[in-house]
Amino acid sequence: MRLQDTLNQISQLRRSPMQIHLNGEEQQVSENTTMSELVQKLNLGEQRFAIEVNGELLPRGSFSQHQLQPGDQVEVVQAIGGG
Amino acid sequence: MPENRPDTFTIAGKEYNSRLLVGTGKYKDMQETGDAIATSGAEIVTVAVRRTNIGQNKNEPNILDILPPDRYTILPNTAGCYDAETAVRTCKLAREMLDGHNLVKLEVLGDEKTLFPDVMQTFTAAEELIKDGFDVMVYTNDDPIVARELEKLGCIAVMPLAAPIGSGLGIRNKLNIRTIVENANVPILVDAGVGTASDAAEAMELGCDGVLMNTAIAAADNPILMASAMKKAIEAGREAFLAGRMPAKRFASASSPIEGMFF
Repeated sequence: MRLQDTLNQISQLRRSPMQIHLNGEEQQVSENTTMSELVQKLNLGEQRFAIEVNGELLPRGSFSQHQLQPGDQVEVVQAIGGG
Repeated sequence: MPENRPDTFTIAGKEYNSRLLVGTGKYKDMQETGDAIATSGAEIVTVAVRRTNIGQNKNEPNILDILPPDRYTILPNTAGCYDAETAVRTCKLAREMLDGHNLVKLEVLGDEKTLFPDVMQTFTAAEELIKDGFDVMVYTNDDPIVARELEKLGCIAVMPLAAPIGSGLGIRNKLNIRTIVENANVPILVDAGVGTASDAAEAMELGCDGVLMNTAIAAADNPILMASAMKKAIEAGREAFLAGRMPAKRFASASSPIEGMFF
């Protein structure tokens, strides 16, 4: 495990948990979790996706600065077959 | 085409050879989706935007894996949206997902039974999207006045329905489709309601620039064969339109000369 990962884990453990809504379901994340951290945790692989928070698009470039707040409605979407 | 100049049509500044646009829903699996689309020869394909299945789909094939955006023009739709706000949100998410790709198919539905468009919400959404830099291909009903106003608003293509989405009823109002085509300065595509190859050919014979379909191919007993039939129907209908059909007459007109008859 890289040193940075270990440090991240330690810092996560020190934070208290909070609830967000992720694709309509309750999800517990640590306080001050950034969108980058959430995305990493979701392990979305190589697929294309986009995210909105409380009905507003969150551009990819803002993931690392964006801190989640308790009660945030997070939607992660992708392309599927449709007409 | 027998002529030298290829009969292309242009959407948002890009030229296309195929006038058949296809949806990617309702297929048995990804393999069938990919095979049908390849057979159809379509260059523009629609996709829907939906929630990611968190935790379940890391290795599940994604529709974009079989439709590489460098080979196909991906046309995200707003299917399932019943108000302007959700349609606009969907388009913004799609643009982000596709790295700034601005082309969208706007559909704002009015009720679940008919899936007819909510024209007023469609206008609200179209206006906002156009202001935000989107190239909007808009699904609408077969009303020539609405089509004219959507063009005036700045939609880059107007797509009247032939019949309700997924109904396969064919073109219910041919004269309106013809009027819409005659009035238009943007591409007109029949979107929704085509059931079989003759419907597609008919849309093209009426002068439409293209046809967008999904269920007619996906719900055929043999989707791959129907994709092939649709490709030919679109080409045949287009050529017939360009050729200019003979006038229809009530009574017969002999094809063989009367002169020189020996009996």
